Amino acid sequence: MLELRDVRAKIGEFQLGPVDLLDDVDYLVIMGPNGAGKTSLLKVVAGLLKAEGVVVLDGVDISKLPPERRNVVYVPQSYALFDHMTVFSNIEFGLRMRGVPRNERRKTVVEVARRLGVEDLLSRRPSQLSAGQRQRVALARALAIRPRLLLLDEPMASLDPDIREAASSLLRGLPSEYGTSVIHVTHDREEAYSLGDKVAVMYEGKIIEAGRPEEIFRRPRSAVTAKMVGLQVLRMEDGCFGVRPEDVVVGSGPLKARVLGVVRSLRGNKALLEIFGQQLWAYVDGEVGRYVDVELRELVPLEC
Amino acid sequence: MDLKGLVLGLVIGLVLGFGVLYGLSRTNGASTTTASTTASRIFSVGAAGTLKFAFGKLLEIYSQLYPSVSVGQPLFEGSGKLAQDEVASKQFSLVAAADTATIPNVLFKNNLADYEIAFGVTQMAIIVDLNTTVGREVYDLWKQAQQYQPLSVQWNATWSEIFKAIALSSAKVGVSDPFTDPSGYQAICMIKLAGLTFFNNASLLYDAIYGNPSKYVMRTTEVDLLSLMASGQIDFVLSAYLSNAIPQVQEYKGLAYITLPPQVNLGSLDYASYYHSVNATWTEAGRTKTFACNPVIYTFTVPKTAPNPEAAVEFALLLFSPEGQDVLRSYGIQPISPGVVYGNYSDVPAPLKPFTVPLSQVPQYAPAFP
Amino acid sequence: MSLFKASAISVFSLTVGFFLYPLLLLMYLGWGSLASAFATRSFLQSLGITVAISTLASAVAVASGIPTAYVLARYEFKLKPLVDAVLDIPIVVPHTVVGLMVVLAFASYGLGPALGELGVQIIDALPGAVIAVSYLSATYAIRTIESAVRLLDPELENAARSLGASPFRAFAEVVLPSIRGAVLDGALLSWARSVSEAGALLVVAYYVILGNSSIYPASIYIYQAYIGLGINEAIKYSAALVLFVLAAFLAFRVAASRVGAKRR
Repeated sequence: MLELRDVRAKIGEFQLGPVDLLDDVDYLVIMGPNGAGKTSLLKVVAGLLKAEGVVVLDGVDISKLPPERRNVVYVPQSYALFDHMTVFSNIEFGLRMRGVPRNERRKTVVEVARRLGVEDLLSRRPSQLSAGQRQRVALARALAIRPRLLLLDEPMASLDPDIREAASSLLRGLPSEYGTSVIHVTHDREEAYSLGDKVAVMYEGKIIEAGRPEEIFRRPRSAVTAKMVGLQVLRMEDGCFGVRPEDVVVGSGPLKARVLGVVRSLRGNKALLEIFGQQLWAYVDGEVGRYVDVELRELVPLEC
Repeated sequence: MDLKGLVLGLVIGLVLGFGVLYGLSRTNGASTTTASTTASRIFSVGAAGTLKFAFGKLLEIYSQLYPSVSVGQPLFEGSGKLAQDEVASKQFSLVAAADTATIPNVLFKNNLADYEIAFGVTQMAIIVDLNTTVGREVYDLWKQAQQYQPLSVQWNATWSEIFKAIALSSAKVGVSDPFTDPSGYQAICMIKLAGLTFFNNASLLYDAIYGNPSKYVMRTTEVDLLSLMASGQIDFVLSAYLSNAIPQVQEYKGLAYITLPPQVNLGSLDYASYYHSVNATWTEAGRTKTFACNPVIYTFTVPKTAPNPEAAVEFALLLFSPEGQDVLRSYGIQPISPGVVYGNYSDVPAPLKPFTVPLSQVPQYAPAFP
Repeated sequence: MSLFKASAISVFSLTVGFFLYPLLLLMYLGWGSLASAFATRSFLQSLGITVAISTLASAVAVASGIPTAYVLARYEFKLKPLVDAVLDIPIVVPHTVVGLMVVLAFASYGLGPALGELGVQIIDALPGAVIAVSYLSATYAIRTIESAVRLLDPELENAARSLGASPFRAFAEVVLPSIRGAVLDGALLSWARSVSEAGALLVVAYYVILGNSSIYPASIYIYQAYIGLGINEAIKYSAALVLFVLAAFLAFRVAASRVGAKRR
């Protein structure tokens, strides 16, 4: 269990925090747009970035410990594999730093590599690997030292779409298989929804909302979260509302909208409508310039 | 870097560089441009580095006497290099060298001249750092020696003391490289002559200095040695000419020079055959060279290709005038008057003939010439 | 061939020619006398002292250059532009001036007397020569290593740290091996710069006194041959020096790639 209390840091002009966060799940996803401070927050947890405030892991205050003594492994977005070493030496690195005897190291490396399906790659160099292989080597390197907490920064960003699902299920199984908690940072809402036991939404250096993914995605509280989970935000006199494109029903209804443009999508044509002077997408075909009747179903009230 | 910035930088650099050059050339020529119609041919002098001070003064006087002549920037550098430069560029109206061999060896061979006029002789001196105990001691001994009758017992004893203090002590001496500067081998001549004169042993002082690498500091020219002396690294500079020592000691605080007896200073034509009783050998760059010990004679010639030979003759007349001779003396150069001509006397410009004699008429000086 | 390609290739050939022509001419003129140059004891001694000075200077440059380059590449601080300019001074200032600075700083004033008491000789001695040449050549090593550190993903160190490496170990096990090529290049560059040095040595160490003999660095040996003996002697030793340096370069590259092959 990880707890952040009033964590803040200044990175150049960027202000991180104050962040208060209770991570009581196996798999936490921190979701936010680029520049929200997600990576910085991971680095604070890993001890790689100086910060004020308190970081408590399993009841122990680790705020003052250097990274090498936190038992928290940070896996950067680039994976940061050591190109001058073989895959074997990469995976062995953490064990070597901990002074584990050679025989034991070898056993652990082979075991972890086998479980992650990289045992055939042990004598290769990282530069000879595919993106998927690199990810698994990075995970093997991190897991070899049995960390209490694994910090993954955009772990799927460099993967091709065809291996994303396999990677997803691999990541999802880490807590149960290796007994480590995971904090996973992403800007991708699908990734967040499918992986997180809990999703925390980060924006401009702060956590603005956190909860079970169903809650966050069904009933976001803030307009920022709503946009991030795919809702369109309408500002009206009595406040802000979120609406999904599929909940914009065209053909009948009390409202009039003008069609501004039409694009193709996998779920049929999508039209950009103008309503109350704001723009809204709907799954509908239409002629540009024409007026249509519209009904908005399932409006989600938002703080804005 | 952004390409525009690079181009802009290059352009600014060129404009600045040439702008400054142009500006300087205008201010330099300001006094002479008015009369450029009468003498557009530039009068440039190339001379041995050690003539820099004396010739600089003479050129100043010359410009006042002949304001209509455009005087080019004089060049002062090592005699050998200077002669090679003249062969390549033929830019000089008057070339002056610091020995009798350079002009015949280079300019005669390239058919740029067939005579040289020996007009002065300088002498070796020793520059002393008065900030050191041993320097102070030598300087005081030298002052004593000036009061004794030359060749008297006390005189001999004092000079022995001086050279003991310099050579047979832990004092550091600076010498020029014999391969790169004549004053390098001339210092060897001087030290051997001192050994011969005061200890009756030409190699005594020489071995004490040159046989012990940590006793001496060698550099390409004596100018390099002076800066080392100023920073406290050496006590005496042996490769000095009086002509340079006079102005140089004024530049540095606490330096002085001592003059030497004619038997050892290479500054007297009368002692030429005594100087020949020693010679200097030096090994460097895989070769051993032997240098004859000769008086330090300055010679000049007007090359056949001189852009402005009339101006060169006027300058030479100034050199032989009482005022010019005083200038030479004030910079430690003993004038040779009349000047001694080595080579083809009949090609000496007529206006200069009254001030010169052919070498055949002064055979006693023949040993000093090639 | 396109006009662009043709023009690029002709400028390229001209440039290569510009570098090769004088070199080949020197080798051509000096070829016949190479054997005699390499049979000259004093010249071999001069090569030896040059190699000794340059190798020591190169070691100094690398040892001090690695941490300096790391700080320049990784940390931001107030006076960094000034520090950058200061490190370029040896490239900008005439080398005779650098020689004079070394004499003043390490022989005459300040540290000079203290070093003298410790028995460290500067004028015409190995320490002085090495200091002068290091001052001039370290910049090349620093700049080479600095750009390699800049190109290195800072996350490598972060990953190493969080896997349990102390800062020193992360540096030694991850940063250093990753910039190894640049360190070797920097060492070679500063070595080469040291071999070619003449200006500063003219002032500080015209020769190096070893035991009872004075050994002239190769650049000065050749200068003496040129002024004192004429151009033919200078050609002979110059060609020999060029050949020697090329051979040393090649040997170093081969050795480096041998060692490198182990890791690639």
